[in-house]
Amino acid sequence: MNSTIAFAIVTAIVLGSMGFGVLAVRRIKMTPQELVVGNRSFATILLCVLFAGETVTSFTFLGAAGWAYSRGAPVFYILAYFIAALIVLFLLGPTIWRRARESNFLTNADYFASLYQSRLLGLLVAFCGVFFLVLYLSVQLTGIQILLEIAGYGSVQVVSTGAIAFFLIVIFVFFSGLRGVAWVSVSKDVLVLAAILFAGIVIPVHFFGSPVNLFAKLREAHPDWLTLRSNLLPNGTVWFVSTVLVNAVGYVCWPHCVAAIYSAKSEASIRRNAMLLPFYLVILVLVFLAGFSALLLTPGLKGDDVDQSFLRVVQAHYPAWVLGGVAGAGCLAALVPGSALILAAGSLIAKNIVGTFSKSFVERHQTAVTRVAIIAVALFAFISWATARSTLVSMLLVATSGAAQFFPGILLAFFDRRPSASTIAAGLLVSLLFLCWTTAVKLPVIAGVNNGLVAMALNFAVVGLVSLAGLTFRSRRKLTERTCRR
Amino acid sequence: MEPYDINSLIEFLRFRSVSADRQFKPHLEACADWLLHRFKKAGLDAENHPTAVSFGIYFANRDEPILFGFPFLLSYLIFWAGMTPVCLWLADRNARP
Repeated sequence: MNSTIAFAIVTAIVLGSMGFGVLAVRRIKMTPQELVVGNRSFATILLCVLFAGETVTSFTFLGAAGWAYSRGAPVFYILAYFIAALIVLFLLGPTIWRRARESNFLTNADYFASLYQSRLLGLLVAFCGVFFLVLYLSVQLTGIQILLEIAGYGSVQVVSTGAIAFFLIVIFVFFSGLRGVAWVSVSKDVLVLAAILFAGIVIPVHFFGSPVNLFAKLREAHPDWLTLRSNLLPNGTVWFVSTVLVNAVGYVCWPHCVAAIYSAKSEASIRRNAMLLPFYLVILVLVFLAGFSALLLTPGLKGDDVDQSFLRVVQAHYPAWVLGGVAGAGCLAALVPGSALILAAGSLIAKNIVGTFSKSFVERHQTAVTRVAIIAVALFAFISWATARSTLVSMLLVATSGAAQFFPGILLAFFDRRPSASTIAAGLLVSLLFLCWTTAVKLPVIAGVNNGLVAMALNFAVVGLVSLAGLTFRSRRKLTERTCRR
Repeated sequence: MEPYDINSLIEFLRFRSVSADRQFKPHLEACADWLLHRFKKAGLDAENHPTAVSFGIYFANRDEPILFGFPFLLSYLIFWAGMTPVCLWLADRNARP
């Protein structure tokens, strides 16, 4: 009975939100620009809602509480990096948007292909982008799985139900595009806010009297839980700072985030969005409170179960309709960013992979090709997740740090004298190989530093060295040519 | 080594002088007094000076300040979440021609 009530509420929330999104865009003609970047017409509020929708994902909803439960103070890095990322967005976003508007970019691979004048570099960036997006999608699918498991009180075929939820959203993206995602984000943000307020305020007040008492109890039970470990230890201060840095610059490099920047109406919209979002992101503190509460109320969870920590508290202590509401909001927190990820991956495949080999065909049928690519990428992501879930999760580190490796290419394109496409490709490939190697040998930090930052330093170093070698080679060749002419 | 020296060394090692943890402060003080006594006995002009800030404690972060009941790092980040929009707004306003 409980599972029926919870499931009915989850279904109502997901279907209602999708219906709202479809209604919002029903009269809009779907051109490629409209489908992928909302016709570059999102003003500050809709842009803010879209960014919030893409930022507060199931990782934030479940994973952050899980980290608070299992690791303590290191979880604060999430709040730190979001704030830093918005500063990066404020500084770089308007220039990226201007370039995109001037040259009609739809994807982040377009940016590389056009500014470095190399379709092959665009192809490389597109392949890497799709790979990272599929890995990130697997996190959202795992989030849906956890939420449905808890909402079903253990009596539901999770993979098949997850598949239905996932493909509903694929159909939704197919018809409504990025504008639909932005409108669904409105209802998602309201529901997620309500769920997080419940988890972060009602639970601590109910069980401990107040959030301050929760911290006092936590200090008694786990005296060192709320402080970072010393410098070079795992999850220590050096790790904290390096992780915040790499994630902050990596935030604006994700293909779906770049698409959100392109969708802005003006440069001012991006800057205002960066000013407003920190207020929304403070709700993350409540997620941390939910995780800390769960640590005191349901101790002993290990491994992947820590991600279920605060939902288990809701399941054990509150009625089914409350659990249904929280799980429904959580499902939207997975499905809305999932839609943006699928859309970004689909447009990368259509425009920069298929388009490289058959440009005229893609130009004629771009919307149709993008829609087919959306279905293809969704199928591929779902099958990969259903068959090799643990491998995908273990490779997620490559994705989160890997997206940040686009940063040197994005930044150096701002300058008039920029490196060659092959130089950028060399830096990108070396840093990605390094990340694959550290993942294979299970080395998440090097001397306490997040390996994503080490990879980025390597990336910049390779770009610098190859550029220097190229300059030396060219100047020598010019000298030889002049000597020969004389 | 003389048996007397080995016993002294064992006695010295028995102190649970974990400077990084506040709960071991009495042990640390006892250890300091023990050393002071030995130095004086050896004819040295020694004094005990407790330090205001122990870097061991600082780096272990066991003794960090608590602001309004919240851990310091979290309070600091909430402060910056509030200040960032203000700073960005000021930067935007000053950057406009």
